[in-house]
Amino acid sequence: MKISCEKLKTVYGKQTVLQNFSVSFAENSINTVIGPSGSGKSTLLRMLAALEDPQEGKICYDGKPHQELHPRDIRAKVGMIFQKPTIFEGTVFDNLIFGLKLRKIEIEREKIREVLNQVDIPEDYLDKRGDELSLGEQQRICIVRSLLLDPLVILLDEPVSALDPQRANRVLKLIKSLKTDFNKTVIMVSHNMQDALSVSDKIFFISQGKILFEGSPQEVQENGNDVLRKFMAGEYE
Amino acid sequence: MFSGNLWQVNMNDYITISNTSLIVSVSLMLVVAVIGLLNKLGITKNVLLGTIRSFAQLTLMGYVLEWIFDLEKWYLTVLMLMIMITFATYDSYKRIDFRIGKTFVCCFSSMLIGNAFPLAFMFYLVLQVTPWYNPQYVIPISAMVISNTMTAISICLNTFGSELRLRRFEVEAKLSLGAKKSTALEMIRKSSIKAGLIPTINALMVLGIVKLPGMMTGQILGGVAPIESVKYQLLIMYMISSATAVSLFLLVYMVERGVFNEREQIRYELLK
Repeated sequence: MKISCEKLKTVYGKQTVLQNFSVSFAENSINTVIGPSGSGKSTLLRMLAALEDPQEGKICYDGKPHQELHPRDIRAKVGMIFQKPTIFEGTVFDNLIFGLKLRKIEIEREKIREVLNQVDIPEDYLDKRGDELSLGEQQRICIVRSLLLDPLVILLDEPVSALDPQRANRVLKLIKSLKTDFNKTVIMVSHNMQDALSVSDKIFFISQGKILFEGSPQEVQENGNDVLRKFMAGEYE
Repeated sequence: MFSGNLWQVNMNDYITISNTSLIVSVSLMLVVAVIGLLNKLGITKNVLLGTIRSFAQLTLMGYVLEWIFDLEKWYLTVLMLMIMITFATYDSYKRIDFRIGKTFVCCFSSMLIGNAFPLAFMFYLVLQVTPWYNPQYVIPISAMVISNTMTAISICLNTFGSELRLRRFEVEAKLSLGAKKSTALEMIRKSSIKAGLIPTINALMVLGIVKLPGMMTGQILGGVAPIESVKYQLLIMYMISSATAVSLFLLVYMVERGVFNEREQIRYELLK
């Protein structure tokens, strides 16, 4: 699914978060929106997930503007993973079948085991309580829970920011496989350039609600502008 | 321990409180004010105001009740009930920090319907009060039930607000997975109704052991046999529990509708 934003504007109280913001994400690619805190990247992701609407502009899903689509139809095609894992009450199995049950899709336990194996989660985790797992495991469960609904796009809001490097790497590996093994379009928000460089096909650097640079990881490293270089050096305010 | 005869006393046998005795007893409130002053608790003004207000309100209520009892008109009983529910709603509304726009209307209607059902059940099916508006029964018993619902409502809505702020991403994760609004709010609904009901359930647990409720005490002082007052108290507790549960259930369902905008997104202003 191709997603594009045209002239988005979002204001919270007196603070303008996004202003005249346009961007386009290619199908079957991993895109990372990177920028400092408060740059508007999480707001952008929430709008793509139909959890918020822009005050001005439109978001097109395969050419159709969001105003013409019911949010539930958008959410059926776009999965959202939050920064802090959102594990629900019950076992890992209960968590994984949450969305399937809502859509009255029956799935065999064996099928879920297969998916778990694919994403490197031991199958005996199915009967564990979700809140007993580590944060990294919980985040992977959240990704699999969304994946089981077979969305076209998966949105990830700083999925590894709360994890230690080892656990973060396992989640990043899973994010890569979303494109390679499951043919998904991935749009991820991050403030860590190393994470972005390691998984992305395209990186968008935004600050104060505007895109200041976009390009492949290679272009970021070779042609990045001053602002981007400052950000990478940790000197950008 | 107490024989029935001992307690079947004439109404004139209880100790009456003279106006002088009442004024002397106000001195106990001075103790509260002095403790407040000595410890700089900043409550002295409210203690004095509360003392004056309770004195004035109760005295006025005493006269109003005497007047209503004498006239015995159905519309006065109904008017009195409506005034009590309106004041109870206003009092809970003041304590609620989670407002969705029509919070007052939601509180009022949930209290009205929630209290009407168990009160009508008890008055007309169990006690068989005649005439149906008999103010001597309907007003004091309704007042006790309504005041308990009032506290439960503010606890419930405040819990709803804090849970929504705390578990916002869980709600949104459920929406993202295809949940409808009511499914996404299920855990918040459960915890807020539960929080509102807990004081009532706890009161049931300790009733008669660490707590002799006001009504029962009043009846005993008035000369009613303890076992009779126990029966009344039990009816009251059942009414309170049922009125609270129905009111909270209705309230939460009404409030839920105000949480989302027309595009099934949480209203941003509620999260501040």
